[in-house]
Amino acid sequence: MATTVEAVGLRVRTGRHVAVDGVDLSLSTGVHGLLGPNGAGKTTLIRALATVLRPHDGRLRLLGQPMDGRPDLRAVRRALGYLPQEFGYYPRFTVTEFVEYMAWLKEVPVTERRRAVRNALERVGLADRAGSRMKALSGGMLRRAGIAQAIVNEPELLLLDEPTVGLDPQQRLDFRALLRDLGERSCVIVSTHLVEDVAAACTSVVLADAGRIVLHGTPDDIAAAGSPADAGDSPIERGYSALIERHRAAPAVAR
Amino acid sequence: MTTVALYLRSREVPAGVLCAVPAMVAVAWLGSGPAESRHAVTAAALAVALGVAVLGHGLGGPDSTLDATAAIRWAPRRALHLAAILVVAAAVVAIVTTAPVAVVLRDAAGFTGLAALAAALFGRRLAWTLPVVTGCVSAGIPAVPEPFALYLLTWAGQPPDSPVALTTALIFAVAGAAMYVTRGPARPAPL
Amino acid sequence: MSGILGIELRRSGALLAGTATAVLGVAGLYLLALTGQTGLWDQQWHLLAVFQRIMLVVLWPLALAAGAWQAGRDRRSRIEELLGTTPAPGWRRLRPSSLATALALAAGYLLVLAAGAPKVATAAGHPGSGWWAVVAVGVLALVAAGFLGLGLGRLLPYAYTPAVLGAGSLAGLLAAIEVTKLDDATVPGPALLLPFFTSTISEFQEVAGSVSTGQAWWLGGLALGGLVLYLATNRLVRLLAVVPPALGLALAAPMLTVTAFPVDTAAVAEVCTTDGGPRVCVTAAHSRKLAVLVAPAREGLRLLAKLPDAPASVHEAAPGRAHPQPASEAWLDSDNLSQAADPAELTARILAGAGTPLCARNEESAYLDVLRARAVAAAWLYGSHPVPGPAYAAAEQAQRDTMWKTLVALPAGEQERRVAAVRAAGLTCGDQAAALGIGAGR
Repeated sequence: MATTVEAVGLRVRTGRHVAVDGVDLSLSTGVHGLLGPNGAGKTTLIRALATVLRPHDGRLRLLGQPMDGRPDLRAVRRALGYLPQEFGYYPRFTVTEFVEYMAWLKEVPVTERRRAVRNALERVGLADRAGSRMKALSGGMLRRAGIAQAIVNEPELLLLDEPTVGLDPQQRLDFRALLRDLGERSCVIVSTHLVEDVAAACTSVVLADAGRIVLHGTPDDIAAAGSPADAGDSPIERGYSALIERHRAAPAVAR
Repeated sequence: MTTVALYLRSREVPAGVLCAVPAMVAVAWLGSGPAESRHAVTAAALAVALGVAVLGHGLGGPDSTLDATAAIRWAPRRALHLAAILVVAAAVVAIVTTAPVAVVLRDAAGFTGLAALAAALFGRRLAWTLPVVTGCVSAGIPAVPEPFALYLLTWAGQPPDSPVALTTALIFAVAGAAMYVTRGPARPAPL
Repeated sequence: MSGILGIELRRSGALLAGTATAVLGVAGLYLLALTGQTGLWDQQWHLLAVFQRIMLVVLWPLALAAGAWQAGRDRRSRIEELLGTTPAPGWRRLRPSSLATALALAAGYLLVLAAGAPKVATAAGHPGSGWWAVVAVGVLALVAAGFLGLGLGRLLPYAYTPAVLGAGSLAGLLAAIEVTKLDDATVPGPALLLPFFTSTISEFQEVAGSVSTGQAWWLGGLALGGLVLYLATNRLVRLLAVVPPALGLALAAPMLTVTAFPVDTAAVAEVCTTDGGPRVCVTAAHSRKLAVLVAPAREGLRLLAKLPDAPASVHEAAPGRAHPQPASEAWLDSDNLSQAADPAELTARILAGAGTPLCARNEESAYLDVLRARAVAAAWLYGSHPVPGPAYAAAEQAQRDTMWKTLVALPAGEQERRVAAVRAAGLTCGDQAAALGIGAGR
């Protein structure tokens, strides 16, 4: 199985701040949860994987293409799906029009475009609002429209930055099912704060803090790290807080 | 004092003033030929329209919905803001232009009303539309006394002693100010 | 791309820009109907085309502002990051919106033409030719404004850009008009580089073909420059945007030195009666007025027969019709066709100067004397004084009455000789007041 994302010593800057500071990561098909507290560098890492930010140091290969020098961004982007944290859209477009527009930009062949758009909208459960203007959508619907545009080209690498914000409990259940489905063929990376989403839908978890990877394992690995003494309401939450706490203590000792 | 400064900064007024004042000076100066020529009047009208259009961007904040939930009374502040736009635009243009001051004052009142109207109807990003469209129509067409419809359309370029032009400007000023002061800038940002 | 173009046409600001163009343009045409001034554009297809070009003085800056507004859409929508992760190159992404802007503006401009067309179709004397080139250049000018606005809006992505471009460009253009006015008005030269016309033409004039070609080069260059600026993805290409306008200007400059508005030979060509009676002719531009002219003209010829060597046909004399006038023809100034209220007045106007058009200019000192001499001659031929027509101020009328009385007091043969002299002077554009020899100071 080919490795979709391969990072070695990856460092990414946002301004003068090094938000991703030496990340080694190797991800292939499956759903990967990117967990971590605020300021862990999750969004910066996702933006680097989405080719928005150029790596400042280290090696990054996406879909087998090296991202240094003069990379063939176009080939990578054709197989990329991306939902930014701050999802911008054209308010006057209808949902169908917006997703079709994005499909066109992602160079989905014109003969398949209509079908791909309908398919994507059905998968996120927005088919009944296909004709609504984007500005008329509620927060959860907007998020789902954002997911629809991200998956319209059936990407090999799908990057979702906080996709579950604004979704109601039922929609989150549907979304988890969608993630499992997508993860069978693509490499899906989901950044989130919601630990239980990760536990339910992810095949692997990347736990990040302060620009570094704390742990890369299965949800069970995280749960196993916790003890009843740690903060949290479920095993995985307790594991999460235990790992973050331990990681924060360790470098302080090293220094 | 600091609250005023914060208010102005939240509406990006400093940047607007930095843009509007040179723009007004340039446009008014372009038309400052022989005193009281028709060209001087149209250039002054255009300068006022441009200045008010740019300053009109400050009639709304980045989030009008959030503003609407504030505890303070907006109405007097909005009225004050409109008055400030009028005074700044009129003062800057009146200093540079050779057109009569009465024309500058009348046009400033009319265009400020139009900017307020556009801000109330379409939001701050489109506050420039009505002043610019009206300014272009008013300046592009020769200010003729006949027919009456054209006379109305070219109100901003009419001589200072025209009662109809003054009435038109006042109607715009009062209608725009009333709409903006009571309703505030439009909530959703279109496009 | 067609589906995407459809989306852009429906959802972008282009549609609004096109609609605004159409509404303002149609209003500009028909506001003149309130004062019955539609003659400024409905007499000839060329006039409509030129009048639309004049209206560009307002539409052009607004199209510029609309383009700049459209260019700021991605930034306002905060969608730039997402768009940046798509494989399509920037120029491909922006192509549909530029095309939609161009199409909407062109459609708006042509709608104005369509709105004016029915009126022109009922009033114009001849279909004319070449006016479509004037329309095409107008479309190109408006599209150039849209593209320039798009380009500048992308180059200067600030909230104030549309407003400053709209009002600022109009201020600049108006200042340019003031500057070009100082030049000789008959050779417009640099004024032809403006995206609009600054003066209208008469129904006997056309826009020179080379002027339209030159303007097409210049405006096409501007449009292309704006488009390059909009679609450019790096700084070098952006710099290259200067090349098309410069090239267009270089190609256009030599073409704009000719007479811009020459006489339209098709418009001044004669249309004559063919019914076997005395010939009555008008210009093709006024061909619809022939039917009204025939009877008064033949009545005029009958009255003119009192004179020796009387004319046998009546011709409309368009401004600049080459003298000398043949003795066998009676000429009538064009403006009389629209000014005369009834057939009797039209006959009287033909008889003015005994069937010769007015040569004296308004600013000449003898102008009023010439008018009086022509009126008295008309009265003598008509057989009564004063002739049908508008009333004059009392002092003027008294002066004419005196001249009339002096004339009819002369012996019959002398009267006829004097009126014939007025006609003879008119044929060669001579002094008709002196020829009559009656009146102030003579």
